Amino acid sequence: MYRSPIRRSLAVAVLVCLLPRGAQAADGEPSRGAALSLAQFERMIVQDSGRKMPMDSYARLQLLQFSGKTTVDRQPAIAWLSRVLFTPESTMHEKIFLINHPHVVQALMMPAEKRRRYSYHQLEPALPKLQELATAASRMESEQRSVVENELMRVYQNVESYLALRYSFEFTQSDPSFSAQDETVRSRMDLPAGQATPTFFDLFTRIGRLRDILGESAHATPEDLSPAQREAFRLNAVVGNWIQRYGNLPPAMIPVHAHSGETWVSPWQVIAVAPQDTGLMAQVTHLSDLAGAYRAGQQLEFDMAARQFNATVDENAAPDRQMAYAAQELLYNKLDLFYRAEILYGLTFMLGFASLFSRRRIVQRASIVLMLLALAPHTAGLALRMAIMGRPPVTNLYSTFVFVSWVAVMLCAVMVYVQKNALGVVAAGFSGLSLLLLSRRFIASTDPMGVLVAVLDSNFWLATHVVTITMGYAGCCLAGLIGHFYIIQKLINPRDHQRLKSIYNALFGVLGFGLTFAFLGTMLGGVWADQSWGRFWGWDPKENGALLIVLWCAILFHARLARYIDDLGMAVGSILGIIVVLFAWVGVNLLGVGLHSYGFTSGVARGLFGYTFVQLLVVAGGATWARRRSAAMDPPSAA
Amino acid sequence: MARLLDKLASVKITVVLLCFLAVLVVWGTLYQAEHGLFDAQQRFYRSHVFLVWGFIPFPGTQLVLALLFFNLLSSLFVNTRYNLKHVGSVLTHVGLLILLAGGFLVSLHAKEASLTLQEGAGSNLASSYNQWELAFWEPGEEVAADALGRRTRRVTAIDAGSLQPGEAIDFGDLGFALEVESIYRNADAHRHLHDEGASSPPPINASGYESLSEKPTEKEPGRNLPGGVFAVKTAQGEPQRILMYGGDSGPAMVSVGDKILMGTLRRTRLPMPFTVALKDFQRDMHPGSSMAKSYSSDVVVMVEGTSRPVHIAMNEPLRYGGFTLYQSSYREMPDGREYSTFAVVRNYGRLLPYVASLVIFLGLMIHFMVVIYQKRPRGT
Repeated sequence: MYRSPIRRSLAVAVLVCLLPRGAQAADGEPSRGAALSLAQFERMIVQDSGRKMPMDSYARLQLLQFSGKTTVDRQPAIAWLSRVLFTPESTMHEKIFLINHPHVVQALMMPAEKRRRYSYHQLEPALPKLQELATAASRMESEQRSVVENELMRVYQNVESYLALRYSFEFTQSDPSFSAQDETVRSRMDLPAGQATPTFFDLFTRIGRLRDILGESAHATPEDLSPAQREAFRLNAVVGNWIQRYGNLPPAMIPVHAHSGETWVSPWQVIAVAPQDTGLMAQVTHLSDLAGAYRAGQQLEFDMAARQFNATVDENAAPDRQMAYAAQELLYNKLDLFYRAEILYGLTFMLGFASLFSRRRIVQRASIVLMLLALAPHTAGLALRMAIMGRPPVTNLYSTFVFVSWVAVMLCAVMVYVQKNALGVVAAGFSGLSLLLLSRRFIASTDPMGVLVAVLDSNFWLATHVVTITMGYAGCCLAGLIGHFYIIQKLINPRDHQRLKSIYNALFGVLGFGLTFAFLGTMLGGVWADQSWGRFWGWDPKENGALLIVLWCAILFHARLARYIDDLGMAVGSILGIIVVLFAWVGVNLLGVGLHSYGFTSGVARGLFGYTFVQLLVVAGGATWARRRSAAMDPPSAA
Repeated sequence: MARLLDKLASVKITVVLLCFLAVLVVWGTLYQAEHGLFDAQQRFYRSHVFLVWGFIPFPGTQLVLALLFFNLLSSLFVNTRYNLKHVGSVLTHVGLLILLAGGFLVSLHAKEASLTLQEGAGSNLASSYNQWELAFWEPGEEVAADALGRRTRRVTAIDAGSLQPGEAIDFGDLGFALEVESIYRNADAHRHLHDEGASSPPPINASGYESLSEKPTEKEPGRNLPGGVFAVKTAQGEPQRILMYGGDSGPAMVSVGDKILMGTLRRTRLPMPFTVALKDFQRDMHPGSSMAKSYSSDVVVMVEGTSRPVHIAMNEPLRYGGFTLYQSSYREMPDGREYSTFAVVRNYGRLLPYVASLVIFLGLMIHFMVVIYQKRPRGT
């Protein structure tokens, strides 16, 4: 789904270099299915992590969870998933397991990979060790676990999930243990003769005939059994064995009406629990045909099986929002609207920047048009997401970044309208691009459209408190960005008082917007807390973070009023305000859990500290230099 | 006087106070990661002054907020110009005054407790999270039965939080005085192997504990189990030593004169003017996952012989008689019994912050709109 522009162009370069090798299949038999169109397959519905989603989203989620990316070897997640399900052997050598901590790699005695991703083939010899360490870690109190132990557990769970996926269509795989050695058994069961090795499902659908053979031996002693009967016993035992081993594997893709309402079951669960239900077994048969067609590379049969399966699911499943919007979710995945917006914001930034130095109106007009063009996919993406989820735009950390970015750009548009200059365009391009890029950092941790925990399950409060506080974040971040512009202008041309004043005015207004909405959001948070916990204010970290933004803005405005700081001081203060916002936004989340978790969060912590450090240096340097420059240019008496 | 008011209303003071408040907010937040929310609240947010490294005094949040209140109040008399241009600013600051005053009122009167009920059970007594009381009563002296048929009895209870060793408390109407020998906020209780040559007899205790040792307090204040050893002194006879511990399995018995009294150290009770009985607790999961979608309890509220059913869920509390009950947590026993826990809050003036917030928001909106309108570029 996602590639940043830089990484995408890099990927092209890499692709060109590696083409001869990349063109070959990973190992062993070439997987014919790779060439198939998966259009019918990707719209199948899977129930996972508490919601129903198209197979395409399921594939992305699984792959994200394993590797932190949504592609493998430049192939989309759905292609990878189809191979895991239907030709599992072909995925043995794909490096999909992300291991963040070098000590985990060392503990498993594997040579370190530069990209920190390992294949199942590499992990396989180390599985007993991994299991031993992960089991020991899982017995510890969660607060006692070190980053290494958490990472061990995470990797182990991923390997488990991978294996579960690998075997979830195992009933469609040919297996020599189902080859009847006895001719009588083969003919009586009507098993495919000759070369073809039967699959579990071949045997299972003929289990009645097998039982017939067994029934004839009801009164025989073991010594009296004919070779055919012995073979029947063996086959029956293997079938039972497989059901026991795999009978509970995911993915849940068949709706069943039970007493307690609708539940979704996996094909293996149907085999294990409801083999007598002909309707459900017909569904499993479609899936078996699907897998067979995939392996044979037959597009037509593959699509037929998928269509029949989907038609039955559509008929049987309760028509709720998730079912109704599954097609839209697929569209949302395919369109990748935020990526499109990123590119357009990048172009907006460049053109807006150029227009600052150009005397021709046309450049500025074009940059404004480009900004509005970029807003279109951004807005459409947000709207589509809201429609699919039936929720306000902000439901998790990932979506806060997408929404804050949108609000910031909207504010910039207002700035352009009020001030009629290109400053807002540059700010729009920069904030749109940077915040959308940042949002990608947070997508890997959970399902970006995931269901909500009980305490957040309130559209009213999400729409009021969460939306307003993130609008506050947007205002304060944008004010910080404009603060940068102010300092830069002060360095380049401190004599241009008119432009300095207009930048300052924009900063003042945007910071005021930030304060207003940060305040409202904070107080609405208090009201929500009062409604659900019985107290308005409890000084907990998230509340304090929000309060700190309000305090910081209030300090800046009052300090300006008291003449403690001048316009440049306001600019510096707004820039520092970004740090305050980041502390409230992601920083406080790290306080509770961050000390012990690795990978995703520790990367965030490092990024946060790095940003703070660099920003402080830049601001201190820039502001001092700017102050010196204006002092040198304006005689002191004039000030 | 006027000059003093001028000084007090100075915006420079405002900036300094806001800076102090910001420092307190950051410091207290970081402190929580190490010491827990409760300690941070006590040290930074409910205090007027606290000591850094044991000797440097630093203003606490209560003091800073009080000073801000007066700074703001006086600025409304001195610095503020009352005209159309400043409507937003005035509204904002008046709203802030209401907010600060409201916060102060709430902090004076608010009581927080919790009530845990098994399905089928009911009660009109919530108990505090972290406050404990010493309670004594005469067994058999039951007064009345409530709607559930539960007996009510007269109990003399005193707050155990502020007791100091050596202090004596008079339980006059029960006919004895209690002298504190030792008391700990958090303690371990010990049983000893019976020592034949022991010099003094072990203290009276229902669970067979003979001594206490102090423990560092928990991050989560509700987990502290306090305990103390006391001497029961009556008009006649030797003082009797009694050990009371938060983890006792039942009340201890002491004889006072010709009466037997029961005594226990328990979480402070908060009586409610109605009885709540739990009919059913439900937990809905997101399908096919182990993630809860919602929690809720069906309860019956009983007041003076009448009863009515109420559904309490997340974000849908029960408000009645000045009390509010929120769905807070639950416990499920392996045998299928379910317990539901409600946070019980008694809270006056809870609407003040709502009003204040709205006023401030409107004020800020108007203020910045006016400022932006004035700053707009004119006559291009």
